[in-house]
Amino acid sequence: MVSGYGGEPILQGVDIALEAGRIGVIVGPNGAGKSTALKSLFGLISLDQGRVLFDGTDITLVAPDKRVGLGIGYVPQEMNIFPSLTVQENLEMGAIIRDDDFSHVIDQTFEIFPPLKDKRYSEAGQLSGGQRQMVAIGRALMVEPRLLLLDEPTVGLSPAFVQDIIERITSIARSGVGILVVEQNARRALEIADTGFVLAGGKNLYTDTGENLLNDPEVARSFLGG
Amino acid sequence: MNELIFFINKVIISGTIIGCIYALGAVGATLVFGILRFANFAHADMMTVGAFVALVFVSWFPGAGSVVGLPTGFVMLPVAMVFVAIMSVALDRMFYRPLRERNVKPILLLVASIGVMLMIQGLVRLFAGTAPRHFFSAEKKDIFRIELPFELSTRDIVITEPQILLIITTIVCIFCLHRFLTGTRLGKAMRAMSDNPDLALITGINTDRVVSATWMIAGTLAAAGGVLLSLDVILKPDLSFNLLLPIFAAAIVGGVGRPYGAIAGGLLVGFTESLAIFNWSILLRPLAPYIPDWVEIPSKLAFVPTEYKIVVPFVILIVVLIWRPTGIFRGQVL
Repeated sequence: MVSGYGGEPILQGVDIALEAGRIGVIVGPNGAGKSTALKSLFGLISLDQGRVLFDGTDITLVAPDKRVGLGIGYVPQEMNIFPSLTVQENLEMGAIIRDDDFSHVIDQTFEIFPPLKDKRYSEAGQLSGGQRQMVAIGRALMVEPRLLLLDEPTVGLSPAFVQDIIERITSIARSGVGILVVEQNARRALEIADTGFVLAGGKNLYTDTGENLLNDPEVARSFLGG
Repeated sequence: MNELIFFINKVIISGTIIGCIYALGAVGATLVFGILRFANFAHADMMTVGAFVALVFVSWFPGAGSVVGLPTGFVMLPVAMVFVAIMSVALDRMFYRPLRERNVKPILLLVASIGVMLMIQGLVRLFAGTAPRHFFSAEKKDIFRIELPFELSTRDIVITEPQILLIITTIVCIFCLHRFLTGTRLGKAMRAMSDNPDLALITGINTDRVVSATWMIAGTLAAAGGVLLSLDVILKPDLSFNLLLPIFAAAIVGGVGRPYGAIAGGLLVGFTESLAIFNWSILLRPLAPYIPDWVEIPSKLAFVPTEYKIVVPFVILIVVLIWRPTGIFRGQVL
């Protein structure tokens, strides 16, 4: 992929490939183009060059809201909930494109995120940071996506919550959903990654299994803080 | 006792009446702002149009109300509501949507709405002239007098049939709006889009539908407010100008984008207005024997003279925003 916001492209050739039901983690220094890569995959930024394939179909020209219908969920980094709606209503909004009965998906979401069940009639804006993140991910899960794109889901959370969210991500993946996550907490994230993508300067620097990247002294020194 | 009844008539009843009208207007204005992020200056004129549409239908079907025993103007209320709802969507398609598609700044939409406002005012004058109109030129306005069982009271609490209908209709409208916003998918989508438009879009909410629904609701409530107000007072083409400022004051005081805030704001502005122009010396008269002779009770003692009523919403606006900068219900940041 090559893309950006006009002018010099931010992504200067990034390849991301993920198999169904696996966890991919995108790490790298600030300004490496991690979020841009995710937005480009979801179609929020149109590509200058390259293609996006989903299940073998070329979706490069499909609008983001239509990609939701195809089975791709996207959770932006900020402003990712409807604060004045209740938790339940946030989840219902996630399912707005569904015409069938989705109550079982709401129940499943509460199983993944038990704290939300007690707060289902509270305004989402009143919740703690970690719970808001759960609402945001839960909203994206309502279409029962086959691929979930998460942009820094642990940003600004306390370490306990970071661990919590990362564990939930693993359990969502175990239910068969492919997850591509951009993470600041590189070490923690790579621990759960099937595939890790290290980006720098808008390019792929390393692509390997999470384990190999963690054990690679070069990667460790440059991106994991030694 | 008479003084208290005077107070009820002049403050409680008239404050509720005008508060209801402001609330109906402010809810629409705040919904439009929440979804489209601009202050619709033509909103009060949608109210005048509603009133004139009802007036036209009254002149076509005079006495139609006697069939059901209600004022004819009130019977024409649904017609006016439907007309203004459709007109609001049509105005959006003609003037605001083309601008939105060009991704203009909200301030441009605001300026466009001033154009629409002037256009509507011109059209109303073109078709209806500038003379004041009255819904009750052909039929009689029912007036209810409630006698109080006190020895000292010789005056009655006075409320007219249109005023009772106004209060009931406002409550029904607000109840329906509440059910819509919290109980239907479209209503929830409307609140979601008002909360976070970008997320609404990528969630797959049909934003075009939400926009149309918003205009229809705003138009319906505006028409209701316009018709009900002109059933109570005389209808003049410049009615909208006196409504515009209090309505926006009410919407801002309540918290921009918060429908319940707009209702609270409307009632607050309405009551404060009534209190501010109330002649307090009447309430002081019974105390005259206890006040020393050298203090003379003036015959008129109001906070502001009636003709300066329009400053009241601004005072409330300033006071409330100092205390709570985003409005009573913590609205969107402008």
